[in-house]
Amino acid sequence: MQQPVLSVERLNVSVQTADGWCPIVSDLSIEVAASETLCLVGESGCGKSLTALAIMRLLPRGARIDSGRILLGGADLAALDEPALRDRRGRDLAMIFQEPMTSLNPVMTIGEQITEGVQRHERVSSAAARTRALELFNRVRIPDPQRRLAAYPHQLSGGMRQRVMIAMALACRPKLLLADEPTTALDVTIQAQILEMMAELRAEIGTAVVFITHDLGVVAEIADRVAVLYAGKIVEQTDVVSLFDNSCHPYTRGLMRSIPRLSRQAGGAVVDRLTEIKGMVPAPTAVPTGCAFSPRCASATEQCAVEPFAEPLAPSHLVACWHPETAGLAAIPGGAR
Amino acid sequence: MLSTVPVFIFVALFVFFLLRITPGDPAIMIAGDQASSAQIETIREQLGLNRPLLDQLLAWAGQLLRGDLGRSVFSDIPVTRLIGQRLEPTAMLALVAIVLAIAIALPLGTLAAVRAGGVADRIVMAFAVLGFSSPVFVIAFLLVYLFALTLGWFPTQGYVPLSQGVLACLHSLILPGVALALLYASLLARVTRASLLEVLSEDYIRTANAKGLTPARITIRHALSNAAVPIVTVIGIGMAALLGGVVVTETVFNIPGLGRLATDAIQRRDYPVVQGLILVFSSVYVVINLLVDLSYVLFDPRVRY
Repeated sequence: MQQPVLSVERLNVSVQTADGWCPIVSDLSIEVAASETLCLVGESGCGKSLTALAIMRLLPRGARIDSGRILLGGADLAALDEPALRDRRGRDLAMIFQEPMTSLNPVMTIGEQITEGVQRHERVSSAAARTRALELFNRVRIPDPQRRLAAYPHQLSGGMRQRVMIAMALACRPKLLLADEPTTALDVTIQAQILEMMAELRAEIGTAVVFITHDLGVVAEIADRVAVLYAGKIVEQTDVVSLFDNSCHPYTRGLMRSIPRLSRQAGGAVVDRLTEIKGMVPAPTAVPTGCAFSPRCASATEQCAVEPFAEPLAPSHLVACWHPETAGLAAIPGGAR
Repeated sequence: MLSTVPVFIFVALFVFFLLRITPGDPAIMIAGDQASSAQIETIREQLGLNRPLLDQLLAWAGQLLRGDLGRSVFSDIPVTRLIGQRLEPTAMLALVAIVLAIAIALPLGTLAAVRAGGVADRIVMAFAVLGFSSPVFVIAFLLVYLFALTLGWFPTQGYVPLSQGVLACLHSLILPGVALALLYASLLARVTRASLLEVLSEDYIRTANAKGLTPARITIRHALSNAAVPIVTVIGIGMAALLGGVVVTETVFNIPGLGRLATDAIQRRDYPVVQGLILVFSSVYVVINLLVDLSYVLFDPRVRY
């Protein structure tokens, strides 16, 4: 892999509970190169969003980074103070949020919301910032951009607002883009358009992308590499093809089996019965010692009471499991789609 | 907005019946205990109380539509002229109080919200409770004692009309203005803090932070403009409280405004003047509320009329 743009080293994040600080993200390490998309995949509450907010250093009150380094452009974001972070946010790294309906300021025109970011980081006239916003609107394919600059968020559809969010995030050509489930709240057709457009823009600008999703269909569409999170730990990290063809961690394989698939039989297409992962995601305050997945795992043994290390099974294929299923699962035809 | 019209009609009817439903004969009430029966008859004649009720109501409505509020029983001067003469001091006092209140409350309320839970927040909120629970006349006497009697910076009482210079006029209104503004500023500071706190937890504030904007820009441009609607609403509602405070403040500082006119008229049982003042005060209140409603268009692009 080429020199990474973002390199997160052993990041630990915890949140405040009634019983003190409870770890949510444990020893998370990821690297993303320019023009590369890393998908963070996992169930709700596994720490995906907190990881992204921690990288932005925008953790809400009651959440904190305990340890770890977040290296971006030669600086450790985890060690910077607030003014230095403000100079970088929006310029070196930007974020798109899940909810386009509430992520834009309702009383400001979308034009102003884009130009204010440009003018914050670059010494440009307001006319030049406006021209930049127009260019961006063309890039993200917002029709009639001239008129839309003066529009307010409530006058736009959800898909249009998410395009505005993307334009806003890319306004200063950031090195890193964090996208937290940016298409979850959108219709499927709009979702496909947005994903396609993001892939184009990523290639054009050369931005590294960390894309958070729980939707394996989206992963198949956009990811270069994938990190699977379970209870705040990365259990498997590999390229997208091996993930779908040859996932080794029992949890990842469980996820794969829970994708609905069609199989052709006499009389037409039939949906196979879904196999769900037995049991529940542990609450952050009650994560079992050792392998967090072991209580739900069919191949668990006594050895799993000791926490497994992430070990490379193949070059750039990390698995944290004592009993990885290396035999190779039958390839899933066509991935999730 | 259309509700303004029925409100006006209701207020006019209320004012009309106020005099008529008073227990006892209103003419005797107005004339006082020592009046002769001839005096009482004159007053009855003057107010048209000897005519049928419907006639009286129609006559009253006709008068109102012509902008005629009747004549003072005490001085025989038209009520509109009396009110006109006393309008300037009250309008100036209210203006000074509102400007002072906004100037005090907006920055302090914002500070309290941005530093929520901190020392600054607690100090501001403690003062807000103190300001809100202290009666206007107590604050007024304390201010007079400190800044007029002890330090001698401001006059103890009186009003300098605008015609004698704007600065002289403002100087005479500083103490009454502050006395009146403190109550109002306490309310406004609390509302500013509460609405700002709510806005600061919105998703779009996180988006603004993700752009790297400065705290000043986020607070003023992104947060305050979203908190404007509740703040402006309270500024409007507070004016009602202000009108009540004006009566007390004008009495303490001996300012010849509408408040003094009202207390004098009530003491003299000058019913036409009292009726006229109620009508004027309620009209001001209704108009302010209408303006507040209309101003939402300026602060929230989603509002359309």
